[in-house]
Amino acid sequence: MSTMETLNQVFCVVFDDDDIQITPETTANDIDGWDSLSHINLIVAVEGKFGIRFQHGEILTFRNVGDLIRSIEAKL
Amino acid sequence: MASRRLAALFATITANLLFLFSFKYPVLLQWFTSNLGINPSVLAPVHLPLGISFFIFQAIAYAVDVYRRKHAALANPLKFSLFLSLFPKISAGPIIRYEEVESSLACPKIDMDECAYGAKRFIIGMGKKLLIADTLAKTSDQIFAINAGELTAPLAWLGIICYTLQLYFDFAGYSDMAIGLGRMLGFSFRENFDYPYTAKSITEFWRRWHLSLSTWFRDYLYTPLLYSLMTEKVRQKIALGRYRTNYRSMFCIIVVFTLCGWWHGATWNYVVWGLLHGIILALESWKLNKVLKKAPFFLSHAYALCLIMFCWVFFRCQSLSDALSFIKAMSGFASGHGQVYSVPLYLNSELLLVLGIAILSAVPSTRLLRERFLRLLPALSRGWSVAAFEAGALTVVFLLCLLSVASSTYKPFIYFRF
Repeated sequence: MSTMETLNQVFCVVFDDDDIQITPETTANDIDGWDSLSHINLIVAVEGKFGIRFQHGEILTFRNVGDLIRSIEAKL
Repeated sequence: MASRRLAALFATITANLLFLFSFKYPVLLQWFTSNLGINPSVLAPVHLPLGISFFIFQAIAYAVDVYRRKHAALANPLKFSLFLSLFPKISAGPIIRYEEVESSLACPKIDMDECAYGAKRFIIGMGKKLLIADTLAKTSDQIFAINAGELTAPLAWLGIICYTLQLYFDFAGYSDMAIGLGRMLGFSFRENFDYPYTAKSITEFWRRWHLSLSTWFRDYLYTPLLYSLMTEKVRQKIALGRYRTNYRSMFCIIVVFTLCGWWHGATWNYVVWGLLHGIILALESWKLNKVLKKAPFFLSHAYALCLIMFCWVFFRCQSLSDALSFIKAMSGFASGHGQVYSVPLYLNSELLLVLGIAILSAVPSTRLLRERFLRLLPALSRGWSVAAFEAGALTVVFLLCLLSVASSTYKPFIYFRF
C-alpha cells in the first residue's frame, strides 16, 4: 500500500468519515473537522501508523497533504 | 547538544516571562520579593513599558523558532532590536514573526505603489479609530458608567452593541495604521483581522479576530502543551480510532484561553472572559460545530454574535461583580425603569449614523459593492472614475479625522494597556 493510501486510512479514522479521499493538494479547508484542535490527533495517529516521530517545529509547517507525505517519506 | 539548546530556550523564555510578569503583575513581584526578604519598593516598576507584551511575545516566538530551526539566529544585535521594536507596530501589534520580515530587514524596499497602499490603509485605520470607535466610545462609556441596577435591558444592549463595535474599530483601526505605516517603510506585516463579526461560530471568530495573537497562542502554547500530553496509551487509542472525543485538546484549549484572559489583566473578569471562550471553543470542537454547520445561516450568526457580546461584558467591566450586574440588566432583571436613563436619551442622530456606518463596515460591504458596481459598469474599471472616487473618499475621511483630532480630547487605543 502506498503512503498516500495508508494516510487516507488514517484520515478516515481520525475524522470519522469513510468517504474522505485525499490528494497532495488537500488542505484543512477541504476536510470537515480538520482544525488546530484536531490537527494534533491527526499527527499522533500518523506517527502511530508509520512508526515515526515529527519534530515540534515541523508539525505546524505542513501546508497540505503533499507536505505531510514528503515529511513522512523522508522518515521511513 | 540538544539538551543544552533546550536549556538555553528554557532560560530565554523564563527571563522574558519574568520581565513581563514583573511589569504587568506587580502584585506577583511584591509577593516574590517579600518572600526573598527584599524591599519590594526597590523593584517596583513605575510605568508599564509601551507594548511590553508584544515585545515579549515576539521575543519568545523568535527564540522558539530558532530552537525549532525554522530560521537561523540573527548575529547583528542592531538588526534584532529593529525586528523587536519596529515602530509602527510597537504598541499593540500585530505580533510579527521573524520569517515574515527577514528579507525586508535585510534590505527594505520602498516603492511608490506600496507607499500609496500604505497611506490608504493608514487613512482607513485612522477613520476607523477616530470617526467610528471614538464616537461609539462616548455612548458606551456613558452607559457602562451608569450603576447597572438602574439600567433597562434595551439600554444595556445598546451599551454592549456600541462597545462590541468600538473595540473592533479601535483595534482593527490601530492594526490598519500599523500595517499601513509598515508598508510605507518597506515592511509587510500580517493581517490581524478578517471581518470577525461575520463569524458563525466562536471557532470561526478566533480565525478572524486578532489573528497574530491567536496564532501565537496556537503555535507556542497550545500545540506544545497538547503534544506533550499525548501519552503512549492515548496515542494507541487515537491510532485505532477509539479516541473519538479528544478530552486532552479540550482541556488544553480551556487552559490556553484562560491564560489568554489572564494576560489581558490579572483580574477575575478577564480570567472569566478567557475561560468562557475556552469552554465554548471546547464545546464547539466536541459536538457543537457539527450542529452549527447544519443550522440556518442567521441562527448560527446570531448564536456567535450573542456569545461574543456576552463575553465582551466581562472584558469591558472593571470587575466580575460589575460584569454580572450588567448581564443581569441585559437579561431584563435589573430594577431600572428607564425614567432616568432611557434609550432615546443616547440614540442621537450622530450615534445612529455612526452605528449604521460601523455595521456596514464590519462586513465586507465595500468589496461587494465594488465588485457589483464594476460588473454592472465594466467601462468604469478601465477609466479613472473608481480611483478618483476612492481618492475623494479618502481625502474626506482624512479631513474629518483632522477635524476630530482638533476638536476632541485624547483617547488612547484600548490595546495600549495590554
